[in-house]
Amino acid sequence: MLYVILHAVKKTIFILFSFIALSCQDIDSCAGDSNLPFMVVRSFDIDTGSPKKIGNFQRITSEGNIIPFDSGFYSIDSTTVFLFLNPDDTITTYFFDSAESADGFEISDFELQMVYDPEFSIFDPECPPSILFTNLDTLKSTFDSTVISGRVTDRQLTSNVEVFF
Amino acid sequence: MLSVQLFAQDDAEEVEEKEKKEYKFHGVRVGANLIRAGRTFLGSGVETQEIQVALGVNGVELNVDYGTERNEIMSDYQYVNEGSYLRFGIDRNFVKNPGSGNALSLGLRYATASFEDKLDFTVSDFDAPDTPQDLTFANSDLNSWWLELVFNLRGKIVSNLYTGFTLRWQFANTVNGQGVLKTFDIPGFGNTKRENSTAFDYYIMWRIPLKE
Repeated sequence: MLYVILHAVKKTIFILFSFIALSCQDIDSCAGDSNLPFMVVRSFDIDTGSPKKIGNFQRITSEGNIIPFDSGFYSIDSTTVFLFLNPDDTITTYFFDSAESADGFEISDFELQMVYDPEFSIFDPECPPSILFTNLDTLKSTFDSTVISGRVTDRQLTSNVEVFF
Repeated sequence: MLSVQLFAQDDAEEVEEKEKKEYKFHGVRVGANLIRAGRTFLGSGVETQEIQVALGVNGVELNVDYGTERNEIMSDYQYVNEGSYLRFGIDRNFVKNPGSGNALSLGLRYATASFEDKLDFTVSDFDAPDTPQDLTFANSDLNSWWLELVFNLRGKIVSNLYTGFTLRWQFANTVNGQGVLKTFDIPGFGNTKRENSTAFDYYIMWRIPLKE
C-alpha cells in the first residue's frame, strides 16, 4: 500500500510540474486589456442626425490640456474624438472652440463637463497600470443634445458620449 | 430470559464499540509548504510561507493552514500586496488504514485572507502634459474569502516523516474593501482576474502519533 501511494505521488508530481510549466506560458498581452483611459465622443448633426466632422472646431481644451489636431486622438475629417479624463479627479471639463477672439482662443461654443469614477488595476505585471472610468455621466453640456451611450470606458464600446449640434 | 440478557449485553457492547470508534485519533501532523518556501528562496518577487496542522480522527482529518505572502511588482511602477490567509476544513481519507498516516483523500476548505495593497506610478499631469505626476493609490483593509475542493495524496518517507501534495480548486471568491485601486492578487488565492483558480501545493510533514 505504501509503495503504491509513494509511486502515485511521484508520478502525479511529474505530470503536475509539466502541467504547471505549460500553464506559465499563459502570459497576457497588454493589447488584451480592454480598459481605456479616455472616453470616445461622437458628433452628429442636430438637424439630420448624420455624423458631423469634429473639424468644425478650431481646438479642444481642458483645464490647460490642449488636444491638438492630428495627434492621433482626432483629425479635421473625423467625426470621433478620444478625450482623456483626469485620473486624479472625478470631474473633467472640455471646451470646444470654433471662433478666435482678439486675444486668442477664448470663445467656446460648447462645454462638456463629465463626472465619473476612476479605477486602477494591474492587467499584467508586464503592462503599465490599467485605468478605467465607470459611471460616466454628464454634469454639464451646452451642446444642443447629449446622449451617454456607454458609461464605461471599455474598448468593446464604440462610443461613450454622442453630442448633437 | 437468558437469551434476552445475552442480546442486551451484545447491544451494550456494540454501542460501547461504536462510541470508541467515534474518537479514534490517528495523530497530529505538522507540515510546511515546500512550493511556497521554494518561491521565496528562488526570489521570484514573492515572499511566502505556509504551515499546516492536521488532526486525524477515524479516517477524517481536520485541517488548518496558515500562510503569509508578500508580492512586489517592480516595473515602471511599483505594486505591493501583503497579507496572510487561513484555511480550515475537513478531509475524508479513503485508505484502508488511516492510522498509518498515508492518505488518499478529498476535502473541503473555507479560506479567508486579510491583506493590503498599494500602487505607485507616474503619469503625465493632466493640466500640464509635459510634467510628470506621481499617483499613489492604496487599500489598507482588504479581506477576502473563498471555498476550496481539495484532493490529497500522502505517503510515509521514513519513521514519522511524510510527504505529499494537495490539488486545490478554489471558487466562490469574494473581495471586500477595495477603493479606486482594484487588487491584483489575493494571498493564498492568486490573481483576482480568475473567478475560479487551481493550485498545487507540495508538503513535507511530521506526524506526532497519539494513543488510539
